[in-house]
Amino acid sequence: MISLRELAWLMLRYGVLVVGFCAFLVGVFFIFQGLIQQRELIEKESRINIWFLAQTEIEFLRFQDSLKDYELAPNPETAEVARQRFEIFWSRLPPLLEGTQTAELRAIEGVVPTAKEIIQVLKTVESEMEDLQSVPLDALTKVKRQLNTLGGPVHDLVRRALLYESNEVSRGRSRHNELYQQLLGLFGLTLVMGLVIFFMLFRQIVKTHRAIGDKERAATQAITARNELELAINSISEGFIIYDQDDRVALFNKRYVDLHPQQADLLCVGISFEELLRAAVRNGGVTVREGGVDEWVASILEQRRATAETTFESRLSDGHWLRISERRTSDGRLVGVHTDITELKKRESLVAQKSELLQTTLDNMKQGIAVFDAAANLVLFNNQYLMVNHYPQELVDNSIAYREFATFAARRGDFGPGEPEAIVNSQVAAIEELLRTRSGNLRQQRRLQDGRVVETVVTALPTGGFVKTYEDVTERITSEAERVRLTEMYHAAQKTQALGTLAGGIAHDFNNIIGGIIGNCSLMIEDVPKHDPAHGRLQQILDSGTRARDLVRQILTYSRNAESERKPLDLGATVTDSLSTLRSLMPGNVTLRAHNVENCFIEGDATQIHQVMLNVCVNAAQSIGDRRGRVTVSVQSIDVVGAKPSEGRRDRSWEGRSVHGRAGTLVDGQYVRLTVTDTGCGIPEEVMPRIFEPFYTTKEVGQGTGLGLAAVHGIVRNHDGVVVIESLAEVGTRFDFYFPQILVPLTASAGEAPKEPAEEGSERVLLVDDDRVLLSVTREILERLGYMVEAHVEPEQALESFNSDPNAWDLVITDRSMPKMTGEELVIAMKKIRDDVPVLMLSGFVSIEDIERLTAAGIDSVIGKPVLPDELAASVRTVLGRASSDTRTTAEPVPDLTA
Amino acid sequence: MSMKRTLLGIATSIVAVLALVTTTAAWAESLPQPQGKPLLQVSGQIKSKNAGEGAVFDLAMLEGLGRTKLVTSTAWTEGRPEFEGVLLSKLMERLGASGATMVAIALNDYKVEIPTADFAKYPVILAYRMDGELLRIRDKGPLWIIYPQDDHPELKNKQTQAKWVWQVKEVQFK
Repeated sequence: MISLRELAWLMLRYGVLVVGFCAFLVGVFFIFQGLIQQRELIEKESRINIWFLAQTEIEFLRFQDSLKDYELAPNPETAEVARQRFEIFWSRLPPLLEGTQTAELRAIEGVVPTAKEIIQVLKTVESEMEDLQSVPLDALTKVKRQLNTLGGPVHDLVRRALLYESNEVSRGRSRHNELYQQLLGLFGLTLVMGLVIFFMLFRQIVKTHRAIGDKERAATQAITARNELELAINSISEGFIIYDQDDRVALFNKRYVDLHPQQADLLCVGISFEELLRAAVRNGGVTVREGGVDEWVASILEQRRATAETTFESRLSDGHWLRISERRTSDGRLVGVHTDITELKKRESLVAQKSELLQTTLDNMKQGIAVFDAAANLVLFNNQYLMVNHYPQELVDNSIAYREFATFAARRGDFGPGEPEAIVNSQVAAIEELLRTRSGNLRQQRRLQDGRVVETVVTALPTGGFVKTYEDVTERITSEAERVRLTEMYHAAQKTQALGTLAGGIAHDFNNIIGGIIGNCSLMIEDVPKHDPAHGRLQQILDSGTRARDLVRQILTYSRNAESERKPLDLGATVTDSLSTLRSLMPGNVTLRAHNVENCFIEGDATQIHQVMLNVCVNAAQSIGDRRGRVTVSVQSIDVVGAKPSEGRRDRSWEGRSVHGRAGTLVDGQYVRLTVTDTGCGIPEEVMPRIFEPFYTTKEVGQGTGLGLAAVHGIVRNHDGVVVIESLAEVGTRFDFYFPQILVPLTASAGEAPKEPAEEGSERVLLVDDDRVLLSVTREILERLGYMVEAHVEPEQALESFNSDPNAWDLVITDRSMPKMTGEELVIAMKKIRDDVPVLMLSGFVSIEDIERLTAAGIDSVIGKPVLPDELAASVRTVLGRASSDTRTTAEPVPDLTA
Repeated sequence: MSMKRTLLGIATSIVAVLALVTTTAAWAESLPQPQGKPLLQVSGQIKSKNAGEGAVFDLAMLEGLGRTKLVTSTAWTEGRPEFEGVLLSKLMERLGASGATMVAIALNDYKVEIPTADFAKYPVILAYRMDGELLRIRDKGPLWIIYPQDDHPELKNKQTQAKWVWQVKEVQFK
């Protein structure tokens, strides 16, 4: 649509045309008006001519009238009037014969002859009219008659003229009408044509105007589009440049200039790419060998012409990195987009470093790690992933799907027996479920064919996908089992410790009680004759007291708090001694035999080794029960390598079926192994873990204390040894005791404790014990041996007595645990007075640590309570003997009781 | 048309005034009485008079005003007859006539108004002879107003043709 403004402009521009056309119409209108006027004029002229003839007739009539007037009153005046009228009438006739004015009249048929005829008549009467007064009346009448004859011709002239005019006017009018109609038609046609032309012209003008408007709008739009394009191009973050078909710059944006500051001065529309290249060489943006610029430029241009589309990265001299993407358009232009990727490059470098760091970290992790994306395709893994799973490199080279790895593992049997496809489906379904919930993780342990245990943990990633770790936990599993075992041992030790503490706490009192019983009983046995019936009962009381004492000792031994005298010991000889004693204890159906008993030395306590032999062999005999059986003992030197004996006597038939038990841990080294094998019923599997537990027994109430093997355990532990048990139900049990071997005995006779006979003596002994019963019994024993004894219940009194004459005493025997002053305090006080006084301490509860401390305090010997008379006599004699030898040769060292 | 006529009137008045100025001495002389047969009566705005408020001329008086010959074709005659007469401008001068219009009156009382400007512009004569012969009434005499249409072709039109008055017996200036 054309706006009003445009229409006004259109009207203004083409108003001239409209005015011209209107003027044309007006002109035509005036032509018509002229025609009408002409028509009227024609008619008027016609009338004039007719009027001329009519006037001629009028003049004729006036002439006749004047003549009549003269006839009525003949005088000179009327005669003159008549003559004048005659002349006037005549004057009307010649014009009918000549002159242009009346030429048309002459064309009327009959006018000229009539006029001539009239003139001729007039000439006949001319003379009479010249002198009318002289004309006689009759002659006048004749004239009148002659003139009257002219009435007809004169009127005929008028009539003819009227007729002619009527025809002519009619003809002229019809001609006019025809012309008028033609003109009207022409006018109408012209008008219509004009309107059509005007309409077409107007349409054409409108079209042209519209086309011009469209063109202007298009031009405006093109300018706007170009401005917008330039704005857009200048707004984008990439450098943008267009080269025309001649490889000259046609368009570029500000960003391009920013990216190429070295081209900023040169860059303009119209400059060729070649000039830019050469400028780049000149300003050092590109380094080209000297003399090779033309060749380089030619090669670049050739390469550019040959390439329709290219993307490459370029590093500028200022260190910036650009990604240049060039594409040729269909019309041969070249569009270049230059993107600053410096930051991207830095990030890429950073990412590469981080990726390398990540890969290095992953590769150096103990765990195998594999990361799968949401489609369960492998995207990241480390070397351990392959190593832990024993996956071949080809697998990761050719496969990326988790299913393929699972399939490989399933076919290899990593997931255990079963249809591989079903296993894989189960694995994949579990992971899909995990990915769906994206919570928690999926932990699995699988034992591979090679025996290794691999633990896998699948954790869903919050971004989709999952990470799966693989860890060889074989060692951990083993360690875990070991830890459980150690924990159990720790608990057992704690229990033992508690028991020991309890035992230690009550042992003193028990020992005092038992000591009183045993001591008194021993004295009474001596006092009662052997044939007396009471002698036998007293002997039973003494035996019971002795067992009670042994029981307390076993308790103390198990709790490691019992005194131990570890010395270089020939284990083979000690075992042989034990066997000779034990054989008498074995029931008849059990054969006890030694097999391959070597003489090997350990650092040990012979008494405790005997205890071990006793407890184990008795248990063995009991496990054989009423059947015939055999208990075999051997002692061998063994090398332990890799925590396993270098050789053994294990029965291979037990392999895989036997039950194992263990106390202590074997480390590599040389051991002496004491083996006790029986053919008993074996140890049930459920019993084995608790076999060393104190007070745990499978025997009926009253038959076992539950302390046998617990004590054995304590003894072996005391000797830094290890017990290994292997048992097979209804076949037998084997105990292996491993003791660290010492190759060279410290003293050849150290293990041979000299048997001191119960000797008598006469030395003066100062005895201190807060237990009056024991004090009494001990005093009695010593006095019966011949010693002179001064006994004190109160240590203070004893110290006082000692102070009164320190040198009067040959020996001080003191209890250890006393309420007001301990034995150690008493001895220390005495030693301050007399440093060399021999001291024998009696104690119901002595640990190895105690012995060290007591020795440091100057105590010569410690014996456990309760003490039998023989033991007391021997100990007293030993201390006194040592003291006397010290007196003889003080240079000899005091034997180390703790050795 | 009226404007045109007004303009012509103004122009004529100016010419008349000029003529008046130059002929003051002429019309100052008294107009003699006609001796012969009266040929022309003049009335209206004239200064020289010999018959009451008007003036009467005989042939001799007219001839005394100066004989002017004019050869021209006419619409009423064949060929180019030689007319002799008095210039109407001379006549006006002699009479001290003023007025923009001269009314010519014929023997049959036919009247035509003629702008006096024509007489200043063209040598229009009041002819009394044609080819040396006095004009008879039958020859459109005694006086015939003749325009020099051959010398001035622009005068060959119907409007001017109407001013060729025959048989003039009287003129009035107004």
